Amino acid sequence: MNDLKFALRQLGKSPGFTLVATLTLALGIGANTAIFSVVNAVLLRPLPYPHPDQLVLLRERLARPSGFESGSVSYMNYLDWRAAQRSFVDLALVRREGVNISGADTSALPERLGAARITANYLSILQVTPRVGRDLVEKDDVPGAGKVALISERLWRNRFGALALAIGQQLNIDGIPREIVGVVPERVRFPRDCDVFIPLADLRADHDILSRGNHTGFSALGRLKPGTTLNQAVTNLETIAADLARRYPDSNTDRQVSAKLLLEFAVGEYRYLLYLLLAAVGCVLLIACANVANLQLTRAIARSKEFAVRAALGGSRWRLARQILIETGVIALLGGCCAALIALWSLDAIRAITPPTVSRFQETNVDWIVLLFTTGVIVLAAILVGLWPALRVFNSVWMANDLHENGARGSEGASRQRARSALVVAQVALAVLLLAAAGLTLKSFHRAQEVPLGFKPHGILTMRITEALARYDSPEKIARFYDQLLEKVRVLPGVSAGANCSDPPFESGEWDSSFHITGTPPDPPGKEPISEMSIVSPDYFRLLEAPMLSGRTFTSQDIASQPRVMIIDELAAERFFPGQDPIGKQIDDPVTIGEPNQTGVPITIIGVVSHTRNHAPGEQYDVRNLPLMYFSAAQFPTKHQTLMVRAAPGHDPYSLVSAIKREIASVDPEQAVSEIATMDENIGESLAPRRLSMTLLASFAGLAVSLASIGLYGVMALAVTQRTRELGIRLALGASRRDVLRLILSQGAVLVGTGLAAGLLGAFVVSRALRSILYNVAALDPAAFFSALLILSLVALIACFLPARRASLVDPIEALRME
Amino acid sequence: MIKLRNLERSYPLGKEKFFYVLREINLDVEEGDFMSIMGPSGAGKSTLLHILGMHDHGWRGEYFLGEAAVHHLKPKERATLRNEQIGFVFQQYHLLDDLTVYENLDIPLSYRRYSKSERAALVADMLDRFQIVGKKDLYPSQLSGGQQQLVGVARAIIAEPKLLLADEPTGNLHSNQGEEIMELFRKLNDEGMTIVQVTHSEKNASFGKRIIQLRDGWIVNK
Repeated sequence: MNDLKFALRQLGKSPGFTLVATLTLALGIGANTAIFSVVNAVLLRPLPYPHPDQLVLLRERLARPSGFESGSVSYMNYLDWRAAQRSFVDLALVRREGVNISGADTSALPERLGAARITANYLSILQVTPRVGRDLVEKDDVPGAGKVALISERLWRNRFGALALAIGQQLNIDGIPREIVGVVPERVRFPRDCDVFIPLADLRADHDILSRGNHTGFSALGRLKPGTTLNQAVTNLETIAADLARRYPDSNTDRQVSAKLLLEFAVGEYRYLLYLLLAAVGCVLLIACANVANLQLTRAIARSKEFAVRAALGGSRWRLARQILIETGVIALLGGCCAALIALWSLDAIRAITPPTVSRFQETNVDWIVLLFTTGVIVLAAILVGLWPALRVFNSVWMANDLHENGARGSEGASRQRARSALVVAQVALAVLLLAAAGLTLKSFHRAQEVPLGFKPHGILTMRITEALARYDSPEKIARFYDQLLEKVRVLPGVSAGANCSDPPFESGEWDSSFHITGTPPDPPGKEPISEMSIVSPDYFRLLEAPMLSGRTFTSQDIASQPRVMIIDELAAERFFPGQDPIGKQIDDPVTIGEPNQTGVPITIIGVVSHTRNHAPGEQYDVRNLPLMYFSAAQFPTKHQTLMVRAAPGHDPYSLVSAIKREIASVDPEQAVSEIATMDENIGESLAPRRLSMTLLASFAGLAVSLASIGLYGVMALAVTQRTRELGIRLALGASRRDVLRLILSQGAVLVGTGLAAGLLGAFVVSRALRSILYNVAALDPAAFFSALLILSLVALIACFLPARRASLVDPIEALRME
Repeated sequence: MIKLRNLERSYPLGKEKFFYVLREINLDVEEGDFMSIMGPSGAGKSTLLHILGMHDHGWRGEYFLGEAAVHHLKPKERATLRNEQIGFVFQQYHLLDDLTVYENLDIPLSYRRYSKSERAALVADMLDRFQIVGKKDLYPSQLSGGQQQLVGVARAIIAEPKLLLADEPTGNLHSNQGEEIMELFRKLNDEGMTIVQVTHSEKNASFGKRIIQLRDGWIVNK
């Protein structure tokens, strides 16, 4: 207790030191706390279900060069997996959808909500029971079953005031009245943002679903049997997949099973990035600790005699070391408390730059695990900062010298100076490391932003529209809805073009299909050409301002009763029709495009359009670099469409929203819209992970450079103070002011140069770790490394120049009197 | 060689009040002179020496060094003149702790226009002349006080100044060592070097050719 009192008294006597040391550590610990709170929320916090490590998400993997790692599961494959597997308690099927819901009051505007299409065993696999009411049962999930639904706790509260009488009420979902049978607890957050849970039921008889080659967005969820490992389950499933590939070569060749723990599936792609960021803030903490350790060493000079006297009076070495460690512990604790506040304040900012589509990022908060981590960091910081001065008291030679020496002269003074210099070198090296990393991610982000899109995104407004199955039960009805809608939207003031599209650029997800070029020999299973597909209305390319390269675009004459036509992009032309004119060539209607009775009927290519980039640069779909094929919306109507509108020059796209909504309501009062955004926003959202790494790394690099420059300034200023007598002598012996300036700057240059070299070497090694998050930038990009060196050199020059200038102004007479 | 006319040095004490360290100093020092400045503490001896050495610029009056009117020179020109003409010996030796004897001797040359080979030759000559060749790689802390001052004197004259200024050069030495240094000064003076020293010691002053006494900033005899 006396040690603590004395520590507080000592710190109180040096308020400047205490303040600077506390704030420095607060920044270092605060950055760590903030990033760890994200890591904790996203990666470490267990899923809110019993035995979450047994929950596995299954997807299909296409093991071929143009294949993919994680594709949706065919319903027919799911049935076979479920029947043959021995590793899981059970398997469920789940898909995220959007639905329009309305209540009994038909005058109210329909609401667009997220929904999950699930098999009846979904909640039981999660081991979750409904908050109110009952779970789905097998008889709810067969074709022709009574129409039922589960609703989320959020919807139950908002729409039904959390009253039990909600159970049994009818909810109009996509035009079909469904009986609410239960309320799903709030903790069920997979799929994300779902308020309605609907059984597959009639879908089980849908021709799209029943085609084994058709992958309609489903994932399979399984719970491992107790004692079964994921590897065992994968082996089991691979055997089943191989058997299916033998039995159904047309659809299942090269089809394998991708199995990941549910948590890994949800956030696994961010694991590496978050650990990188944690390493980056670790560097910031080390720099902060080095700064405070430097301050402590400076204080140790002033207090060396005090400790030597204490030792001479009988104070044990351990007692003296404890005194030092308690002092640094108090500073670290004060810094830690400020750090917690910094972390709390920064959470909103961090949430704002994290990917909005991953709900766990938005759940970032400071909980007891974060506080435990912060406590650990405080202890670590206290040890790092106090270790050297504490160890020093165990050196009896130094202690003896301290009794006789004044100040820092002599060999031990030089050794202290070396220790401080080493700390500054380490700070500069770490700062270079972070600056180089920030430079690489900055350039990567810039490259991702600058990548040619093949269309002009600025001014495009997108909104998702899904027609209710009950009212749009034929392709003609869907086509009529869009015809009417586009006719009205196109003539709105401020609108220069309007179109609809099934898979617009930069929308999450992707639709691809294999196909056969008409008139060529059948492709062997697994060797079929693959292309991305999209269904668009005639004005789509004009709206995107994507130029037609040859042939023609769709017109209002390309309707269902006319011969079916398609447009391919330049990539498809090069890849599938090399050296030929693709106009007039045909492909067989793939199983995923038209009506089942039309499968195999040729579709004629009428035009070639420029290639547009549809996915975020570097993401899994973008890497596949598939060509694009477009089909006429009038010939292949689909319920899930995105309405796209280009605002006329000088008009804000958002200013058109209410007018468009009015026109939608005038065509169909029950039709809801959702996901209203500009194309610029969609592109921005797709770059969220890159923005996250770039923003945070740049912030940490800025912090690191600031701390390192403060450390450098401190060491140089102290060196000038300690060398005042020497500088006075040099001036008296004929040195000019410029000589002195050069002397001090060269001392700083040695420190900075050593730090830069060490940092550069470290950056060369560490940059390899960044390779996977960089886009179109080499891990050893010279510009990024040179910029890091330049920035740090400039900052270091300023940090050294100020003390050097002070040195050059030393009055030799005063300096010589200091003896 | 040196001509001072109505030289005054003062420090402000408050509004329009000054504390005078030196008053109406009029002094002539001929070439080849060996002058000792004496007086009690606070008389202004060291201040006068630092003005002569052009370390102090805050004085008024006229100061001629040879043909140069120092009072008209800019600081940079004064520094050049000092480097060409003046060497300095300090009471506390003021050798640089982290440099060897050889490196300490090299310092003044490094601030003047000497080539590397010229510097090496001059340092070697000086080590030889002062018979300290065997100590060239030692650090100041490894030398006795007398040896340190010997190096201090060697360092002061290595750039071949015409004027040697010494501020109590034997103040930290015992009598035998002090005498050796004064003998050395006399020898240098005999060789033609002008020397101005500040001393408290009558005995050391007697090595010079003349003595001036300072009291409260005034010269009380010449």
